[in-house]
Amino acid sequence: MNALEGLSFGFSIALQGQNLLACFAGVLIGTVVGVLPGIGPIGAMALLLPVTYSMTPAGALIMLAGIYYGSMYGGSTTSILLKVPGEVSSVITTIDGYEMARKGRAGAALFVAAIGSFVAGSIGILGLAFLAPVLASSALRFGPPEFFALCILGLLVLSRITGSSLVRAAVMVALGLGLSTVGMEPMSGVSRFTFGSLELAQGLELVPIAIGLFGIAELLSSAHDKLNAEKPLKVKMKELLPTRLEWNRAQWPIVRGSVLGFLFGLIPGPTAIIATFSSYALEKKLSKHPEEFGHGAIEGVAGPESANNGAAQGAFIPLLALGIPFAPASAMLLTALLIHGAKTGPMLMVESPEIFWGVTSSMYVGNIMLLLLNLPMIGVFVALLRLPMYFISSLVALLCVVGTYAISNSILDLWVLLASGVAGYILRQLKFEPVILLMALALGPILERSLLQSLYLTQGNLEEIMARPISGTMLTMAIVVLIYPLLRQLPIYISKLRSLQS
Amino acid sequence: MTARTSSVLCALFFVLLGGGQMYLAPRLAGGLGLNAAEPGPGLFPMMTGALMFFSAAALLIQMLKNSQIEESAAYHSPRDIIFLVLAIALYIFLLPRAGFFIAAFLLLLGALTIFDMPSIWRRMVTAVLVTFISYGVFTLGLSVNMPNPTWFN
Repeated sequence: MNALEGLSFGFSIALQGQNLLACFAGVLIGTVVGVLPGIGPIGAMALLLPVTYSMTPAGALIMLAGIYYGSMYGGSTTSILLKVPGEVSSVITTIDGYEMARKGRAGAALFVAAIGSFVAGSIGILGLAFLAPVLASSALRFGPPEFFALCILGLLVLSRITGSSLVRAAVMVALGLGLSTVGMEPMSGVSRFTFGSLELAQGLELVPIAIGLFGIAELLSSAHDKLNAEKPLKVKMKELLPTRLEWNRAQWPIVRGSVLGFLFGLIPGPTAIIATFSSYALEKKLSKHPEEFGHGAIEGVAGPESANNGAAQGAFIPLLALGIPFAPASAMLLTALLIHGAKTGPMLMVESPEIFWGVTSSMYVGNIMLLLLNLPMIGVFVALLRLPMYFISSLVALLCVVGTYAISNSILDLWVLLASGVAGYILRQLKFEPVILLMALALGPILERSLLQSLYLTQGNLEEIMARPISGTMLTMAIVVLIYPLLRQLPIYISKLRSLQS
Repeated sequence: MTARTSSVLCALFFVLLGGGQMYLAPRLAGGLGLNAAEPGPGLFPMMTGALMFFSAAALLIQMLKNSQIEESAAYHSPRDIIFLVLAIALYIFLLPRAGFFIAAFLLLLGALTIFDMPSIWRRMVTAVLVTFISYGVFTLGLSVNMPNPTWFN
């Protein structure tokens, strides 16, 4: 299936009634999550994982992906109206966006941000549709050693991009993998670490742990960081359209920001944030009025807002084509794929084309929905900012416990949720990164199965895994990822050594 | 408790956890296996236990060497956090015994108090309303089966 056939097939999936509804729910929730400070897209995705149980895998992914890119749209609203970024990637928008709002141009700033996000989303989807199949064309050459190498690479990449130290990341990986060994062993069916509990023999459910680590832990954090909401600036509908001059000044920053963001999205790390700062710097450098930056320059909103959406779309390429999450939110989407029993990595496109192409095409539909939602309904989203945090937090607490219980009507799951929440809170306080733990827990069974199968296949000779072209390349990349920080420090050490010698 | 103490305790906990896994893994039925070509069910837990043990030990050494761990990592006042944890624990305890309505009402009342909603009457009214609405949404709308309360059977 080529990209055009794939997109056409994808649209036939994305435009099915239930998938359209899932997409709408996803982008709406994503926008709300982006608007409300304190609730991130990862927490929202974790919270809604149980709801996706009754959906098809494609529908579930369409909704969760919608939350992710929808939050990028919503994040700009608080940045512009409150000078409080709803998302980290909207931090730079606060500078010129808020200044525009103070000058009575909030509507124009929001309009340009929405259009920029739409253009970036559209460019990103085209890139995804054409680039991902090329990357995934090696699918049929993937065997257990390749999956083993892919899991190792994925875990290492995630460990390096989250900003956690290598030792802390290793502890999180070990904890996640260790927890994944609770229950029956995949090959022999031997019970491990169940201590006689029949419920534990099934293994630990991923969703209660995800909701605990992100939903409950976030609540516990906000229990001491109670947010003091500021009153947002007002937006009048007649101010929504930018003037001809503003529009002319915003066009090219949107295009440049979209392409820049998309390219940054292909790189591991917090690329959405880096893309926004790079776009801002680029626009300031190219502008005929650099002195206006920081005082309400529309380019300072158009470029970064396009860049953060471009990066969000770009990050889907490594996720859908290779099964490697390059961002924490992608890790949550990968977790959802695993929960729904879909093959991750290059096999996704071969075995579940409806998921790959359905999600890709749904993003286009979702971007149109976001444009239609964000412009006329801006007043509604602004009104959300007036909802008191005590109400939202209490509702989230109830959603966490009811959502977890709904998965398998298990009280044990609720205790796991609470324990994960407390653990997640403590881990965050001690600068550990819970998303690595979750990813390791999700990838643990695949990693173990592929390791055991590789050992059977190679008669215990691990050198053979390195000798295979794909797995060897991926393991070499994993080693590079591991030692890259040391390599980066090497010139500094050499210069220090030289200065000591001299 | 200072940030340094809690970090050291946490690292120590992970060392013990990794060590415990390394101790238990070879004792599982089938153990580590006969050789590398025929691995047993204990091999993978042994590897993850070793990773945990050694990385946590390295972290512990780092903590003990570094006496200047930034205080921002220290806990804030734990009162509200403990209350919230207790409110959720109470919900889990009451759900199968007293049923959804009582459990959810108390959780919401507790959460609204912890998050500083003014006036006890407003809190109670809000908790009652949200309990009924959420029951309607989850049980009637999304077909979530709530447990039968054992105290009232």
